[in-house]
Amino acid sequence: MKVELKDVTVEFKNGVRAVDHVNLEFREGIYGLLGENGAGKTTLMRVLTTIIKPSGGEVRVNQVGYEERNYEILKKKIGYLPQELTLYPNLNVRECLDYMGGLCGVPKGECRKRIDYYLERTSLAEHQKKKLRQLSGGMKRRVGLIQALLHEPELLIVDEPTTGLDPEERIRIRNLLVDFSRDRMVLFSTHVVEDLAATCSSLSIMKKGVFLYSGTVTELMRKTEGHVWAGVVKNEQEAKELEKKYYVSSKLYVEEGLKLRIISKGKPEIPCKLAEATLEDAYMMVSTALIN
Amino acid sequence: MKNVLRQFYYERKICLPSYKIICSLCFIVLLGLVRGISRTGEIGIVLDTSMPILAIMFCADLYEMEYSGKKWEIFCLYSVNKRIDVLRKRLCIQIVYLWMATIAGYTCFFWQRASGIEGISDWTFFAVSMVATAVSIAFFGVFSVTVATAGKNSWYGMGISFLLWLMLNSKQGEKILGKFNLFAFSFRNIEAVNEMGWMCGKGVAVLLMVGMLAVLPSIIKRR
Repeated sequence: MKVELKDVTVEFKNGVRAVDHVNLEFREGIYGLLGENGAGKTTLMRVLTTIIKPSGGEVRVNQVGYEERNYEILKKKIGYLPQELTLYPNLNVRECLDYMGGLCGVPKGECRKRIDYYLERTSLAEHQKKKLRQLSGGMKRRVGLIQALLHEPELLIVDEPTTGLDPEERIRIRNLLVDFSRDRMVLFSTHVVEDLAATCSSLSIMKKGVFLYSGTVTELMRKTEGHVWAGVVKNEQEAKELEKKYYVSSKLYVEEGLKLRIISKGKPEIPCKLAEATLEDAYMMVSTALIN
Repeated sequence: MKNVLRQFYYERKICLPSYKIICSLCFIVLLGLVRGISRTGEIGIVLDTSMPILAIMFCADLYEMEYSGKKWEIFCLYSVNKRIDVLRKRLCIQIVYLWMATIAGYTCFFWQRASGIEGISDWTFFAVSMVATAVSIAFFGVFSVTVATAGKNSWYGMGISFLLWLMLNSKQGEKILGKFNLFAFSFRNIEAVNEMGWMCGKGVAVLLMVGMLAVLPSIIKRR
């Protein structure tokens, strides 16, 4: 199983280039897509779901090219959870999933089994008789995720699936995605770095339509090592001075003053020591062009 | 069979929410209050020209409703045949519902103790009116959903369909199209029960409707 994007560009009629000559290849497992708002993640995912035709480049899923004559075949392979999805407010959770499963062509008995399984996995079993309009944002998000999983797609594309979920639910959903990705491809887009740190072994970092980094998380972390510093300054004034020179990724008031986490290629001009880098630090290093 | 019924049940819940039912019932009650009738033959005329307004409003958003709340991003992943099937089921549900509402409306008017016309049975008026109104409802339902789907906006569907309704339901429409007007049934002499010229208008509407239903799949594919 393989998804390939070669030199993909998406340019809108108004001249905005949302995706700019992007190359990507990923296989089974979860592939992360990280980037700020407006980076082009959603546009790229829409290309993969066949919603948007790229202005240039080539896309293939399992050797099947994204050409109109292949769309019907491709669509069957894809499951998609868009951002801010609102489903049918008058149906209850089970009815909605049963309806959507039917549209995907899942046989009735099988559909029922899968709905039961995913309702259990997402802690929605006790809410299955509730109408969708009565659900909280996080619950609706989980229903949206189940509809994307129901036909067990070869390629699952999820756009910020953990938005609006409490920490416990986020962990459940992440684990569900990891289990699902065992023999399938999952493209997981988010700007919540923790989610990717917990689920992906490879990722791309996107900014203004281009990939700033594509590769394994391990390699990214290795590149970040030696660039993250932790130190304490006496007051806010000193912190502000440092912020002018370095990228300060976190500030915390402690007894001694203000504890800072600084991302810098060289050692900052305060007493500080190297800190263990997190994926968030790595992301900030890449997006602030400190490494590439 | 069970599967088909299940799909119809879900489609009914999706495309015919309670607010639409309440609106249609209010419309019928208001119509009964505003449009007083004195003879049973007039009931069909009132319903034949008024019920299409509901059809326009109810059917225009049948496909466009998928374009709200990002549902379309998922909906367009379903096969084209499934999407066409969904639209046909929704259209069928709306038309059948509105036709049933028409029967309820007829009963409402009938209870106002309208006087009959000598020599013509009330049942004859009822049957003829139901046939005529069914065609008008179906035509405007199909027309509004076709325009809305082609124009990618349910307001286009409603606006253009309403303009057509105004044109057909006017003196000019009566003069220009004559018996080929969809509403020729309303312009006829109600006492001349054997005068069936109005059927030409309904026949033309049925032909146009078949044409639109044939074109709809290609509009959906294009989107």
